[in-house]
Amino acid sequence: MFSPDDLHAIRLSLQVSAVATLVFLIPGVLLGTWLAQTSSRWRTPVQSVAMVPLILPPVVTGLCILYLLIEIESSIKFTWWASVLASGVVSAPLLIRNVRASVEGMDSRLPAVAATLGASRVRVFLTITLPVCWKGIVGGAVLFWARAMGEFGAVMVVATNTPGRTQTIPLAIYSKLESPLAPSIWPLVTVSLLISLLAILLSERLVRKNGHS
Amino acid sequence: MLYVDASSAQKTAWLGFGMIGPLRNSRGFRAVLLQNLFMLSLCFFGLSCSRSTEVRSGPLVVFAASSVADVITDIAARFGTETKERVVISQGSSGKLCKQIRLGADCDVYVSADTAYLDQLQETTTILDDSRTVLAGNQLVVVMTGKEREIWTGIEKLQTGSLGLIAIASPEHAPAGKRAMEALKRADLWERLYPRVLCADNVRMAARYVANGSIDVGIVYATDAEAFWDKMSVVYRFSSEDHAVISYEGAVCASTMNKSLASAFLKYASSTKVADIWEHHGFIVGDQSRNFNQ
Repeated sequence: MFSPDDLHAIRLSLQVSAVATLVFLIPGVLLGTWLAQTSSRWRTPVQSVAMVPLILPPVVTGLCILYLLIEIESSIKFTWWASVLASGVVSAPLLIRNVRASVEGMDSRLPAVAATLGASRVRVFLTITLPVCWKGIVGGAVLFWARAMGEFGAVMVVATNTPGRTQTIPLAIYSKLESPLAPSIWPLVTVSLLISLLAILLSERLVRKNGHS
Repeated sequence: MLYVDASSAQKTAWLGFGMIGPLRNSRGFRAVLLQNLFMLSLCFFGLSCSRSTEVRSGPLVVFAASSVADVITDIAARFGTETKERVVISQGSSGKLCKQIRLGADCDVYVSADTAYLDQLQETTTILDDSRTVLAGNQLVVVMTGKEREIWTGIEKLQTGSLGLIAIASPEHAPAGKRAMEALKRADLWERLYPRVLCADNVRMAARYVANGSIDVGIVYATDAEAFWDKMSVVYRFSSEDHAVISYEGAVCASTMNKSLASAFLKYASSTKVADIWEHHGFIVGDQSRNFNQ
């Protein structure tokens, strides 16, 4: 049912999206929190740059990343690390927005009171912001992960569509769609559906559990 | 024309929806709903009107493989000035176009870079048997970034590790990639070189990677090298024995309402009247192509 290249595509999709989540989670949460709380004049420019990939066509984002990688002569271009970078940049706005919204929604008296009691900013962040905004962070991370797994345009440009090396599930499905002689598309489509459904169920579970605690 | 009418109808609808914002405060929800429905019905009315008047007597629709799209565009322009008929060209990879035609896309003439796709359409009688016409041939070449590179004596030079990655079109669905894979397999290099091979979506994209210097070597059509002549040089030309024939063939789709015009266009595209256009873009036509492909 699955060719070795299909299996590799499934594994690579999981790998790329998981690594992207690991790499982008902490910076994304920090940036989202900062954007929610800061009054710095850098806020608007930083926010604009971070949000641009949400609006840009992913192919354009991919092209920008590729030219950047060429410019700095990075060795990760056309490897799966480039896929991690591209899908991460494209999906980051979802994480950052979610975190920012939930931090903004937090009762601002909580950190203020903690600060008057002498807690440092780091301590406030770790013991108040993180636990209170937990749901928003998990929600953002799941959205991020799902978007990273489905990323197509940017990944195709920075990492190409090489079977058994940089081909992820969406790219494999696209190739089969393009080829009139290719074997059936449906096994991969089913896998893609199953993974997405599982992810949503899991995140609901996680959020609900933590909501009660 | 169906397309123009549909898009203008959509535009009206969009404008209508756009007005809803400020209205929400001044009038009730009901008024907004009514307006919304009115706009929607207008939209559907526009769509249905344009659809009923359009009985495919419009321009000839040609689906052309991306590697020949430039040529077909030029030929269509000349055809248009001679016959006063309008030709619309839709381009994409041969495989994608073939699939679209099989699924019932509105198409009169299909020009493919891979005869296997035409065979497939012929089996399902999606194209007219007697309409298949050979238009031109092409050649597979190795290109390198930059001008005035040293010409290679053999394909074995690809093994030089310092050359880095090798860009080809995706062998899964792009004919150019398939031929490149065949050529490397026949030279017994595919297995060894695969770790350095990168599959771009189509042959033009592979050529572009070499043109902009992100990859140093690529295997593309001679015509792609011609298109990017100021950014790359051909260092090796495969011979016709290295891979299956590269032949561009056209055919008339069975569903066409414009059979005579479609056949006339194909005949025109394969005639000596447009040989100069094919040659200008680097394709091989006439006896030359027959000799090369045998």
